[in-house]
Amino acid sequence: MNRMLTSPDPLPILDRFVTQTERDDLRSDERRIYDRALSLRSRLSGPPRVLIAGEFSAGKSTLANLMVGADLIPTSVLANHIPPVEFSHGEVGQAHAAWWDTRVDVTFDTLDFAGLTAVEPDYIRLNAPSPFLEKIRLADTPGTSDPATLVDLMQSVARHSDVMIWCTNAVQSWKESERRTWSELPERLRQHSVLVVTHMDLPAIRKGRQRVLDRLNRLAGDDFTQIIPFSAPDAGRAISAGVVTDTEQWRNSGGEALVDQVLALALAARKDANELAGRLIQNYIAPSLASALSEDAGPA
Amino acid sequence: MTDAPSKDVLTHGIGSELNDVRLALSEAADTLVAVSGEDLSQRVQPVKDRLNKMIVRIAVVGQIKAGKSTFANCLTRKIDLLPADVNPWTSVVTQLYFGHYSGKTSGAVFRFFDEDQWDILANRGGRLAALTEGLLEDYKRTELLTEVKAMRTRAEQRLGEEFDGLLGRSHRFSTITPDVMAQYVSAGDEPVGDTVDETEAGRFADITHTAEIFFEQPPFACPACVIDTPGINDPLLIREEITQQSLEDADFFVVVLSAHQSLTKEDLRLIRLLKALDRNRFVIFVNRLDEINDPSASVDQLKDRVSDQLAEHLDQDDIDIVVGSAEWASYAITGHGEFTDMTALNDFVIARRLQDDAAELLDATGLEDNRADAYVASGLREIEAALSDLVLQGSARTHLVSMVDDLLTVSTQVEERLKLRTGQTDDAKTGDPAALTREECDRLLHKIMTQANKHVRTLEAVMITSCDALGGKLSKLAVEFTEDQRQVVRAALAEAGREGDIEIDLDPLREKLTKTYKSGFDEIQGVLWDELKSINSSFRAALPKRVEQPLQTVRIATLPIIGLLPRSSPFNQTVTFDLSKTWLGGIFSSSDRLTEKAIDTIRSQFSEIALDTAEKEKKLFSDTLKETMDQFQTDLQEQLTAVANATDPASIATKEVQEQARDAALRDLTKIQALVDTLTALQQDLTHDNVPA
Repeated sequence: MNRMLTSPDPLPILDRFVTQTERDDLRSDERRIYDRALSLRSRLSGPPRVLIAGEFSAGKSTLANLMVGADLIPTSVLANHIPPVEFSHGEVGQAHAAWWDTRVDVTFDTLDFAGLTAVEPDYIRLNAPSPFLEKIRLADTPGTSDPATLVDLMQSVARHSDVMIWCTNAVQSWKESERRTWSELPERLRQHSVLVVTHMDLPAIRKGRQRVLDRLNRLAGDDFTQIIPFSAPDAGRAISAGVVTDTEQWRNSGGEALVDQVLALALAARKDANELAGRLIQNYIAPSLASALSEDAGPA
Repeated sequence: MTDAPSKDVLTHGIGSELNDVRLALSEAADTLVAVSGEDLSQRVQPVKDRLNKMIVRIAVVGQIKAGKSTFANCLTRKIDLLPADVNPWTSVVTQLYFGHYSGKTSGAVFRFFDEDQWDILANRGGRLAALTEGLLEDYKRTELLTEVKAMRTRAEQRLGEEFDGLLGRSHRFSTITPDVMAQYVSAGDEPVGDTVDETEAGRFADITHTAEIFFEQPPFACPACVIDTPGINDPLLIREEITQQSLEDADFFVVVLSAHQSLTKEDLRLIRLLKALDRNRFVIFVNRLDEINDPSASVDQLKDRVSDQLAEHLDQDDIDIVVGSAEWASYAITGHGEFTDMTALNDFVIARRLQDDAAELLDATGLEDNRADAYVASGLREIEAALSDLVLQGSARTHLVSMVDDLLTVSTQVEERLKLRTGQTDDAKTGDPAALTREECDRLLHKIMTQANKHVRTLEAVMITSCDALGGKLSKLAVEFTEDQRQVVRAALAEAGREGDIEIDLDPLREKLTKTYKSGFDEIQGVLWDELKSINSSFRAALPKRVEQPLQTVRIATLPIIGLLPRSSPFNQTVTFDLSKTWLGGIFSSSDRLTEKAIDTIRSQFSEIALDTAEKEKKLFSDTLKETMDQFQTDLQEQLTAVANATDPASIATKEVQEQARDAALRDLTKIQALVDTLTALQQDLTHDNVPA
């Protein structure tokens, strides 16, 4: 245990392992280790990644825009099914095409979505100066259950994420299709997930608020660390460019509870990721790198 | 506040054209029975029964909380009847009858589960079982059993000793109140704990299987039944199961979607299931327009999206899609707009330029301003107009066409008999009576029938061979396709490190099979039709000249054969492969063995349906031929008897009696001739308007 706590930053080791190893040369059990190393490398290469998930039109992008502090993706582009988008801290303007594997990002100096999608990245990284993004990275994916989307990309982002925000629309909340998609995501991620109930501001929902929440607690209470009712219009009035301007309204909208919970989960998930990486390095990667080194050194 | 109901808003008259035809036919049937000297009640009664029991069944279906009950309340103009709530609860299928043939116009019957029904629910029996054989995921099977048990236990606790006595029984009420409704078809929250309260809401909800509630016929213009279903995609699988099992109870459907999420994969799955069950007549209502941002700008987008997706995934571009709000419709009907945002409504009406429509309605009804606005904005008028068109198509029209045909056949034969009796045949004019003795008649009948039956037997043999060949051809197509796919899937699995699911797109196969099936059906039907026509002309050519006139209306009916339709798309039954995503996903990403098994299942299911379809067509054609020939024999026999009677010396009575009978027969003849004209006109109307193929 002590060794793990004092062990050096795992990222450079993971990085060396995945760049020096050719995945195609590995046996299938070794490939699983390799894929785990790729996933941990991606998770540890910046602040914890928070995946905003849910079915289409559940309010995911609205929530992302509120926290990013800007609407960086024009709706016309969204309709064309761009890859998942990750928001990280930085100045608006730069955009990167990125891949989960060892390929190097391609950087664009403008938000050129046509150019970005043309290189067929696994995801697109956009920068924004929102204070939230100093602590977490946010990943937004096209929602599930949309017949217009041919491939669900949520699974691939989920494998590389630390925390999940599952958005459900209060009007038709927690349907069987949601429950099923959610249950197919990695267990590790599900244990670090919150359920955000959007559209709580609608009049009929406002009136039945407690009963909607009671039902969700009964059906999904055990599956999430917290169920948070959320009103995007209220939150929008309490925050500007990612900075909270009206603390009380922010609290009433559900925004405060959401951010608190997500940050707490991010911290816990980061600790888990470090421990997991330590174990992976100790048990598999270190021996494998050592043998690779000795093989290299052998004939020379 | 004008709460007084205004006529236009409180009725829609769905089914009025259908009812006009129905009433005209009823009257024709009565006229026929009243014709003196003929006992036709035997032949007319079945038609009368069918007309009497004719009912338009419309089910409101969709995902949970799409707004089905609120919409059903608007469609039936009974705004507070079905409980609508923020949470789904009811698991009961509710049938609302308008103008039920029993004459009931009030009250309700609540039917309780019996052991068998409970078993079917827990273990998925019935036709649905045949469609989804072996494809219900294991977790679902366990979950369903658990839920049914929980329902049962809860009911037992609540009802105590009463429970056993209620199974398979029903409760009847002569009037219905919201409190009574609440005990059987409850909404709200599921009970916590096991409290037993004699009066509590939902007391019987767990054991109520169906609720039937009776009303006067309006707002419908013909007898109608509106079926409200619990809804699909509920985490409580039992509601999904109940909904699916109730689909076959209706002929027409309103699929309610939510504007928040217009058309999801689950909605598509439901529509595919409808098609698989041969329930192809539906309209789509995109509800909850009032709840989304900028509704006026979204209407066209929502409509386009749904229509594009339906065209892409189901190859259907002829479905009526209406975007609207049941909330606005409720307000228009009642004037109570607790949740209605009047500013948003007003903005919508202005942006969509609906003021003129609203003003027109206002003039016609004296409705309050914004209630008229709400009515035109709600989309209720459009969806009701679409439903009204829909109900005149499909099975209702097919039934009417065959009933008109039945009545017309009887009428023309009676006409000929009356002509004989009144001496108005062409032969009579030429002074050459169609004299034929009874023996001659019997011999003629025997001769004609022997000839005709011989022809028909040969024809039937040809038909059977053709059907078998079609079945074989379809089955071969399915086998070839799946073998090709097997290679594709094997190659994909062999590719190292492949991620995610392998999906087999079955639509090209379905399309190919359906096309082949329909053209094969048309071909066989065409041959049968041509041959029957040719048997008719050879029979006529062989008739002795003197009976040509009285027998001119007797023929082998070709309408029953030509009226048969190929089943809409039997191959959509394989819908189950798209239904169970986990099943597909799990199998194709796990192992070679399971993949092989999946492909084997696809192959045998398609192949079985192909052979089964051919068998069904064979039986259908065969039965229809037999009925047609039986009817031909009856008609021929009756007509020949009339010929014999007309010339039988024994039947010639005194001159006075003869005169009286002749007068009565002349009066009847006039009536019947008018009737034949009416029926012919009806027949033209019904078959002339294009029935979509």
